[in-house]
Amino acid sequence: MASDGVCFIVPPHVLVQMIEEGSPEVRTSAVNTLAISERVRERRAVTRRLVQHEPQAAAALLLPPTGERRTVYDVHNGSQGDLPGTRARGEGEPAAEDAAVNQAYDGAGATFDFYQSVFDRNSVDGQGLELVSSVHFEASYDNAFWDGGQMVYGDGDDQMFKRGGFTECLDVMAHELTHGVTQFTAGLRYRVQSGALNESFSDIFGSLVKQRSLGQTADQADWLIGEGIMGPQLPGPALRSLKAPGTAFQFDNQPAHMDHYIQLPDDGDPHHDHGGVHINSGIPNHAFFLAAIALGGNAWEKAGTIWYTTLTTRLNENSDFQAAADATVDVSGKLYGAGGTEEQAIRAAWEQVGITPA
Amino acid sequence: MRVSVVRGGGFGGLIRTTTADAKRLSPDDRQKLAVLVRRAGLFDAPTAPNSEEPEPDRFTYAVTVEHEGKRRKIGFSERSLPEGVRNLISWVATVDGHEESIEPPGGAKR
Repeated sequence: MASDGVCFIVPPHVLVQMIEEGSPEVRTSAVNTLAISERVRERRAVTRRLVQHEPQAAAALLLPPTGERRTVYDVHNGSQGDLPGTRARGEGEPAAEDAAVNQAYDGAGATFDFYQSVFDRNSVDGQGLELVSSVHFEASYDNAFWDGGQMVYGDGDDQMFKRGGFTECLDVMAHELTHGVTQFTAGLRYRVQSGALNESFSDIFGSLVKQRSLGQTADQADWLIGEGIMGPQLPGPALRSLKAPGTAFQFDNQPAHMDHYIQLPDDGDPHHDHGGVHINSGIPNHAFFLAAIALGGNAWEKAGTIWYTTLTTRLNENSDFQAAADATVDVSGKLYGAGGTEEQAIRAAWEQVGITPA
Repeated sequence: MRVSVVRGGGFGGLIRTTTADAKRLSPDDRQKLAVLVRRAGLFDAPTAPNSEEPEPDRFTYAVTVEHEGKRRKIGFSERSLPEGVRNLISWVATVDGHEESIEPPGGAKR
């Protein structure tokens, strides 16, 4: 074996197949073999394929358990093959010179604390997965994403999105990290209604992390996603609104009701957004907003708990809006009393967006 | 020669279309376009639909090349974008004389 890497006797793709299809003993052996690879890049490449089918095995491979809560890397305008980049700030270390590094560090911390304090959840996988973030991805990259194992932030292009905007915005960071939570729980497929639900949970918990950090009740919150990151090509205060879908910025076309659900083919055409996942998410987003307002107080408490319980214990990869409505109503009855004001409020919220829960 | 790149998805789900039409480029850039298209191997790449599972907030691309009566359109996910195609896309987005438009997800005309 080379000292700077591992020469696989069994090729990585075969090990993946063993993990996906093998008996428990074969699986464990294959996972262990992959885990000893010192070539982080190789390990991560294999892990991405696993993430979709075997998230627990993938989690075991992603990074060695270091006990670190979060680490921020600078990928120096490199691309996905260069992730995570050079280590810029580890857990407990003092602030770096680079504001983006510090913002990503704080955003990961705030999101971790939210899930831990509010829902007793230990990181996105519930098992203390180290939160890795890389900043300065590519050049003028106007996006941020969770890649199945870590957070990745571009700098923005100052046209669509402000330079530095993604790491300045806590709800953006928490939105992306919540994709991780979904990946390890319901696994909602990123297409059509399950995809719109996936987007909605990320917007909802993105907003809740922000609301709790500001100590805002449901009626004090602005319920905006991406406020302050909009560049000159996208005129308006924010990217999306849970309170008033369709009003956040000039091109916001989100519906707030099933009557305006936009049917788009799930055909991989970039015009079609995998069946409108970023568009139709306005409907379940608005249902949550209505529920939170009706319940009053802090939105993350009752409404947040109902939605979190639904995501992590009731939904599956193909769940649609109806399934989410049915489950949230049922969960609210189980948690707070069948037929109680909570259950009635959740039921009414879904009815107001055009879905009748069972 | 005309290259049109449609990019959808990302955090906002927005659609950005950038086009480089040789008619509107300088002679040097016209040549550069041809070189980049050749290096991107677009006329050799398979047009089979992308069967990968879509990933949250990643981009999806459709690149269309028109040249001497031939037209080819190929889809890519951000993760599987070959380097030659990525270079072509970056260049089309910034070259003098390129055109650009932004629409909401689903397209402006509904």
